[in-house]
Amino acid sequence: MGLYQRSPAVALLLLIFMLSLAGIPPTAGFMAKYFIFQALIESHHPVLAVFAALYIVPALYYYFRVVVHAWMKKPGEAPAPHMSSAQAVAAGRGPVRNARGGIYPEPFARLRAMPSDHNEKRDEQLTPAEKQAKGFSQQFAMAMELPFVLVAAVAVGGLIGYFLDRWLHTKPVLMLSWAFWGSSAACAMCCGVFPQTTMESPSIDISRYLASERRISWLTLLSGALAALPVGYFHGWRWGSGILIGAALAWLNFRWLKEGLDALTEAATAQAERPKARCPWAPIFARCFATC
Amino acid sequence: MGTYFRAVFRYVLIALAVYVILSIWHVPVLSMIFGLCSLGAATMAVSVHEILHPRTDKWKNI
Repeated sequence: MGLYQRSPAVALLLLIFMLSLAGIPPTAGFMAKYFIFQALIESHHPVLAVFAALYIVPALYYYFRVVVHAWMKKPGEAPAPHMSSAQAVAAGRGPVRNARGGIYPEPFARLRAMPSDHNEKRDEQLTPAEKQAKGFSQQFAMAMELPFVLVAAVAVGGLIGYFLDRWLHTKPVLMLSWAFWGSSAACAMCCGVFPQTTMESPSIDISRYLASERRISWLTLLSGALAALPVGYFHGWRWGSGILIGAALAWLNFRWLKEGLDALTEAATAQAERPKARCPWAPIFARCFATC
Repeated sequence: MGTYFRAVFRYVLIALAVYVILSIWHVPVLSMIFGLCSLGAATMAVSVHEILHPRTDKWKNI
């Protein structure tokens, strides 16, 4: 009870670990659950995968109940937890590794996909349809990773810039320039990731992605409109129009993000037959940074 | 390079539109956040649909 008021750092650690246990991105727990779902789908257990996904809802309740007691309740009479320096270092490494596993899970995915005798035999026995499904899941895993990379790179860059600004009293120049640096690094990484995945599994049926994208696109608008009608009726037009505007913004964001990533993919895969070109924005941002 | 700047310009445009909507219409921010969640709801619905109805031949003709 009231752990946050007695020891904020320990409460923060508890929050990160609980988020990870609940499988909230970007934590290692999310990727672990994701790989379990992927394995269930690949091994033709879709119903079990759906039940596993539904199980997350009650799990969220009892994980967050602990967090609510730690963060929002008044502290009891128990003393603040004491940690030695070695314990603090060990506890501090946990969330860093946890976040790393969630934000940049590629090393773990590679470890999982590492060929063994068993896997090689299984690959030989796969039918073309199963190979295509396996390729689809690999692509999907990569698509799941890229948004985290994009967000994390900008956030890390912005944070570094923020602390440098506070130190050097240059607010907000360094924060903006480091955030731009982060975004350019993320784009450069996308350029490196896409050719690998497209070359590794050339037999992907792209029409599946397009159909899913179309479904997500119109379902976003439809669910927004369906939610806005009753909310607008019971809570007033401001709330209804707010939900509608939010849905429209989400739809625009999805479309534009897709267009941007498509353009990046096209630019990256066009280099497959030739030596890879350097990303043109890197030297430009270097000059901007130096000027700042 | 053009794509990159176009993306930045679009998000600046979105931020401007949201600022104008919030300042003029006084729409609750929470309702807009709920509206943004519709993308998550749609993604989950499509994911569940993909799991329950795995790939068939009809996909190839879409």
